[in-house]
Amino acid sequence: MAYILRRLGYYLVAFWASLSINFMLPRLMPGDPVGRLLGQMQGTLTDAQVEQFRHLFGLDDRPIWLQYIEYIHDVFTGRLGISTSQFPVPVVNVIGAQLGWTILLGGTALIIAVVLGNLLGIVAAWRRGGILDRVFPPLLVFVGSFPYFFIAMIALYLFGVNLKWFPIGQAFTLGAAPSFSGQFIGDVIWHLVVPAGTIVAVSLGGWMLGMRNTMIGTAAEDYITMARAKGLREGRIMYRYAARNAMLPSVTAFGMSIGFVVGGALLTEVVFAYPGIGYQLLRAVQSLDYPLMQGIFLTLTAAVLAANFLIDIVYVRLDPRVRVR
Amino acid sequence: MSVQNSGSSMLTTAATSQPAAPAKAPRYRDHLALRILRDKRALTGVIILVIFVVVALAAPLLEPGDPRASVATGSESPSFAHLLGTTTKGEDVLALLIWGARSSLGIGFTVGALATLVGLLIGLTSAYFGRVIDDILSVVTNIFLLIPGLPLLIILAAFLPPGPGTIVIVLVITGWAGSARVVRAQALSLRGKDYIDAAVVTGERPLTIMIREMLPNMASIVMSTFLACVIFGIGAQAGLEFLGLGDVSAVSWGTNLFWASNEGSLIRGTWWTFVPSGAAIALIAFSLALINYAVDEVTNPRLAGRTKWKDRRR
Amino acid sequence: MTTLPATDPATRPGDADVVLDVRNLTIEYDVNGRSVTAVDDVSFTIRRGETFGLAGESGSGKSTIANAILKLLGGNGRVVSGSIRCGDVEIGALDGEELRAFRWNRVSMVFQSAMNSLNPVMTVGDQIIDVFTTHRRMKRAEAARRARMLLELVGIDPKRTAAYPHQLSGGMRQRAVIAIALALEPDLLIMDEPTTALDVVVQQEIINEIKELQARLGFAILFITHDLSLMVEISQRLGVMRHGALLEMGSSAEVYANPRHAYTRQLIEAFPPVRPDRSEIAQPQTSGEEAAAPRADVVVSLQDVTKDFASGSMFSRRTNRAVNRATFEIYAGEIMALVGESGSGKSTIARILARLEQPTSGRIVVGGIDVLRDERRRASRRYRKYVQMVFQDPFGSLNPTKRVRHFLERPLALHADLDASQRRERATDLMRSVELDPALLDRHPHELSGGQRQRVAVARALAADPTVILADEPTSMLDVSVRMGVLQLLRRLRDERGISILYITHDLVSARFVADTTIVMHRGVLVEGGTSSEVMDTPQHPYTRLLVSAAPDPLRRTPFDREERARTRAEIQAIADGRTTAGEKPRHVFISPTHWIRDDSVQ
Repeated sequence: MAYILRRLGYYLVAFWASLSINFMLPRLMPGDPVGRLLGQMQGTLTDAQVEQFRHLFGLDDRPIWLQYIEYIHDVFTGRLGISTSQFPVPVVNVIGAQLGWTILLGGTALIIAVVLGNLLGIVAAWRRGGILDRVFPPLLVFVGSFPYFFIAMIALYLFGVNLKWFPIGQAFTLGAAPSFSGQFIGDVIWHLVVPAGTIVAVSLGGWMLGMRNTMIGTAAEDYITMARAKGLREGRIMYRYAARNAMLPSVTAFGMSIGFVVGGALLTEVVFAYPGIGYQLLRAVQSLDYPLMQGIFLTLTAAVLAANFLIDIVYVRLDPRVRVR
Repeated sequence: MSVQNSGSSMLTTAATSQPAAPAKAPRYRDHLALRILRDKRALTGVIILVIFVVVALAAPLLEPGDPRASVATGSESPSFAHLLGTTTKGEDVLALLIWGARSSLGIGFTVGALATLVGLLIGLTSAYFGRVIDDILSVVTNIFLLIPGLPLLIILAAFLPPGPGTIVIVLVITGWAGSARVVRAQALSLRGKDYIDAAVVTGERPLTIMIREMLPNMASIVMSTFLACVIFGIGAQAGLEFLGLGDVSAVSWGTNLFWASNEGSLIRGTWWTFVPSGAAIALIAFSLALINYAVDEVTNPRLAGRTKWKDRRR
Repeated sequence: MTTLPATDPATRPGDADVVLDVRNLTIEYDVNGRSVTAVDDVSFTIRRGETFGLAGESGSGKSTIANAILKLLGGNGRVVSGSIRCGDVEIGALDGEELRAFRWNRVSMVFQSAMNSLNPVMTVGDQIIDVFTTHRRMKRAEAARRARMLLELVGIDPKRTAAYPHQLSGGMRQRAVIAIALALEPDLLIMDEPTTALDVVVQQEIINEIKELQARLGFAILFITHDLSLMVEISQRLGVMRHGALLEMGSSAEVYANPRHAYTRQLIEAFPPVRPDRSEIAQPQTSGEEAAAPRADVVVSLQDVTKDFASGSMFSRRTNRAVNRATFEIYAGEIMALVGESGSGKSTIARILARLEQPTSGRIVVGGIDVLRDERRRASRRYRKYVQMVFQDPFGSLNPTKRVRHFLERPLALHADLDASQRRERATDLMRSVELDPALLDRHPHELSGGQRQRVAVARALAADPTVILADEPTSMLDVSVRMGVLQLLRRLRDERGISILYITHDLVSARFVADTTIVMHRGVLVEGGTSSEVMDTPQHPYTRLLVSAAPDPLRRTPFDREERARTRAEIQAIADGRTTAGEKPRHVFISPTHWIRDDSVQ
C-alpha cells in the first residue's frame, strides 16, 4: 500500500511538472508568437475568447503566481483554450474526438508487441542457441533500428501504394458511418493492420531481447537448479519458475516504454493520416496552433501517467516482496 | 563461438600488455574496446559507422556545390547521372544524402555525448551522496522519464526558435534522464562495494573517488549509454524534422524525409526520394545497436557464455 | 567392476543397504575451450541411514559430485569416466522422464543458500505442493495437507504455508528447504553446506533437527561442508577432498583423531574447538598474566554510542537500533575481538569507528580527540591516518580496475610525505611485511588468490602507518587453510608494531586464537567482556553461554536438549525485551578485574 501511495505521489509530481513546463514555455518564449497570432485573428475572436488566450499564454499584467494558480485551475476544469486551427472548437473537444483512435492504435500495437516479444524472449532464452535465439535477435534489432515513421512509410508504400493489399490511410473507409456493425468494425480492423503492424515490428525486438536477457539471468538462479532437482516438468520450470520471475523487470520496462510507444504511434499516425492525436498534433504544429499542442501534451502525459499507475497496481499483484512485507 | 574467441584473445592481450602476468588472466581485464572489436557483430557495426563518418566529412569533395540546387528535371529515377535519382524539385538525392549525414551524425553524436555527460553527472552524484540528494535527483530523473518524450520534444521545439542549437538542447533535455537512471543504478551498486568504502577510509576525497575509483568500473555502462543516446539523438532529430519542427531549409536525413513526404513521394511512387535517408538512419542505428549488443555480451558474463555457476563460491 | 548387474543385487547381500555407490568418478568442466578436471577418480559408498561427509575447500570438487548425483552438471560439465549408482539405478543411463522421476524421489538436495533456492514469487506451501502434484499425482487439497504436515515436521508453524520466502528468517527458510527435500521420503539427502550462511546457534538447532528426522525416517545423508569440526560431530564416516581428489576416507572419529594426510591436519587445526581444555590442539597464547599487566594508553574510547537505522517508507517510519549505548575502550597494542551473530551490530561499530556511518548519539574519543565534536561532518586526514580498516570481503574491497600498487601508493601519497620513488620503495617494503612477493605489485586483484588479496588489504591499511586497525571479519570469506595465516599476520603486526586491532567476528574460535580480550555482542548491546579465555572458559551471560555451547565440537558428549535450548532462548529473549523499554544507562558488573557482564542478566 505504501508502495502504491509513493508511486501515486510520483505521478502527481510528474504531472505538476509537465503543467509547469506548459505554463512556463509561452511565457519564456522569445518573440511573442502568440501576440502575433492574436493580431492575425483579431476580427474573428470575441472579447471573452481574447481574454482567455491572454491568461492562458501570460499576456496579461497580473503577477505571475496569480496567473499560475489560475492556469492550474483552468486545466483541472477542462478549459484548455480554443484551437486556433479549427476555430472555434475548444481544444478539449478536438482532443476528445481523436483520443480514441490513438488509444486503439497504440494500445493494440503495444499489447501485441509485449505479449509476442516476451513469449519469443522466453522461448529463445530457454532454447539457448536454437534457431529462434540465433535468427530473431539480430533481425529484430535491425528492424528496430528504423525510425517508426520510416517503417511506416515503407509499409504504406509497399502494401498500400504498390501492392494495394491494404488501404493507404485513414482509420476507416471515407464516408462509412461509424457504428458497431460487424462491417464497420471489420473495416476499422482492416485499416488498423498496417499501422499497428509497423509499430509492432519496430518495438518487438526490444521486448524480445529484454526478456531473453533477463531469462538467461534468471535461469542461472539457484531456485531454477532446485526446481530441476525437484524433478518438475520443463514447462513448469520455464513458466512458473523462470519466466514468472523474469517477468517482473519486464513489467517495469512496460511502464517506462509506454511513453516511447506513444511517440511511435504519433509519428505512425502522421504517415497513415490516421485520425488520432498524433495527426492532430502535426496539424497543430504546422498551423502554429499552440493551445492545441499544449492540450495534446497534457492529455498524453496524463494518459501515460495513468497507464503507469495501473501497471504499478499490477506489479504489486505480481511481486509478493512489494505486496506483503 | 564467443567463448573460443575470447579464450584466444585473452592470451594475446595478456602477453602484450603485461609480460610478467600469467597467460590465464581472466578476460575481464582486457581492454574493453579491444574485446568488443573482436566480436564480429561489433566489428561490422564499427565499419559501417566509420564509412558514414568518412563520407560525411568528405561531403564537399564527393558532392561539391549546394545540395539544394536544382540540377535536373524533377523526380528522375536513379540513373548514371544521378545515382539515386532526383527529388520533385530536381535536387540530387545522393547529394542530399551525403550532406545530410553531416547534420544527422553531428547532432546525433553531440546529443549522445551531452546527454551521457549530464546523466553521468546526475547519476554519479545521486548514487555517491545518497540520502536527500539522491531522493531529489531521483524524483527529477523519474519525472523526466515518465513524461512522454515525443510530445514534450514537440512542444519544446515548437516554442523555441528553430535551428540546430534548439534541437540539441531539446534532445538533451528529453534524453538525459534515461542515461542518468542507468548510471545511477550501476553507481549505486558500486557505491555498496567495499572498495569504495576502503577508498573513503584511506582518506580520498569524494570527487577523487567518483572519478578514479568508480568511473573506470563503469566503462561499459557509459559506453552503452552513450551509444543508446546517439541512437536516440539521431532518431528523435529525424522525427522532429519529419514533423517540420527542425530547420526545413537545412539538409539532414530528417528534412529529406520531411520534403519527400510533403511532396507526396509515397503516393507518386518515387521511392528513391525517401528510401536512402531512412535506410541511412537505420544503418547508423543498427551499427550502433550492434556495437551495443557486443558491449553487453562482452561485459555481462552470463550472456557471454555458459560459464558454470556451481562451485563459484569463494 | 564399474557396473554391477542391476538384476541380482541379492547375490551380494551387503550391497542391499548401499544407497549410493560412486565408483572411480571423474568429472571435467569445459572452461574457455579447455578441459579442467573437477573430480578425479573418486569412489565412495553411502549406506542406508548413514551420514557421510565430504569435506574440502572451495574448488575441491565436493559440490560437483553433489550435482553429478542429480545430473545437474549443466552444459559444460560432463562425467568422463566412472559410475554413480543409486540402489539399482545407474544414474549415467538416466534421461528424460526417467531422470525426472528419479530426481527427488530417490535423491533430494538441500542447497547452500536457502534464500536463493526458493522461488521468491511462490509461497513456501506451493513449492512443496508442486513436488507432490508432479511426482505423486496428488489432488491439491491432499498435497496441501501433506505440505502442512511437513512444515510442522521441520518445526515451522503449519499456518505459514502461505508465507513467501522473504517473510521467513534465514533459519526458517533453510527449514522450509529441508521440508521440501523430505517431501517424497528419499533414500538419500544431499546437503551442500546447508548451514554455512546461518549463525552458530541456528546451525546447531537445524543440524539437530535433521539428525532427529534422520533417526525417524531413516534416510542417508551426504553432508558437504568445509567445517571439519561440524562434520566430525555429525557424520559417521567422512572423506577429505582437495583439487578433485579424495585424499583420505574413514570413520569420522578415526580421521579426526589420527589424520593421515597433512592437509587433513591443516583443516582440523583451522577449526579447533572453542574450549581447548578438552583437547591439546592449538593452545592459545593468551594468558591471565598478560591481561593483568599494567595497561597501556587508551587509543580508542566509545561512550554510549548508539546508532539507529530508519527503515520502512515515508508513511510507516520504523527505527531499528543497531547499536545500543556501546561503551568500551581499546588500549595501545591490544587485540580486541567483538563477537556476535549476524545483525548483532558488531560491523556497525566498526563502520562507525571507520567514520563510514554517523552514530545517532554518543561520544567517540580517538587519539585524544573527541571526533564527533571536532570533526563532525567528515573525518579529518589525521583521523584517517590514525584508524584504518580491513574489510570482510577481499574480493570486494580491492577495486578490480586497479593494480596492487595503486592500493598501497594512494595511502602513502595521502598520508606520508614521500616522493614517487620513495613511495615505490615503501610499497615494496609493505608487500614484504605482509609476506607477499613484491612482484605482485603490478598485478590486478583478480590475479591473486583470496588469501593474497586479504594480505594486500592488510598492507593497504598498514600503508598509512595507523595506530588502530579495524578488521571486519577478515577471514570469513577465505578458505579455511589460509585463515590461520591471516590471523597470525594480524598478531605479528600487533607484536612488532604495537598496532591495536579491533577484530570483528562471528567465530568464537578465531577470537580466542587471535584476541587478548573479547566482547560479546547481542542485538546491539555489549553483554559480556573480558580476556578471551575468561569469556570463553567461564561464560557468565546466558547468551555467551549459548554461543559457546553451540559452536561445533567434534568431542561433544552432552546431547542436544531441545527443551533446554528453548528455555535458554526464552531467557535471552526476556532479557533483550526488558532492555529495550528501559532507557537508563547500562551498568557493567565485574566478576574479575577484567571480566564483566551487563547487569541486566544478573537476577
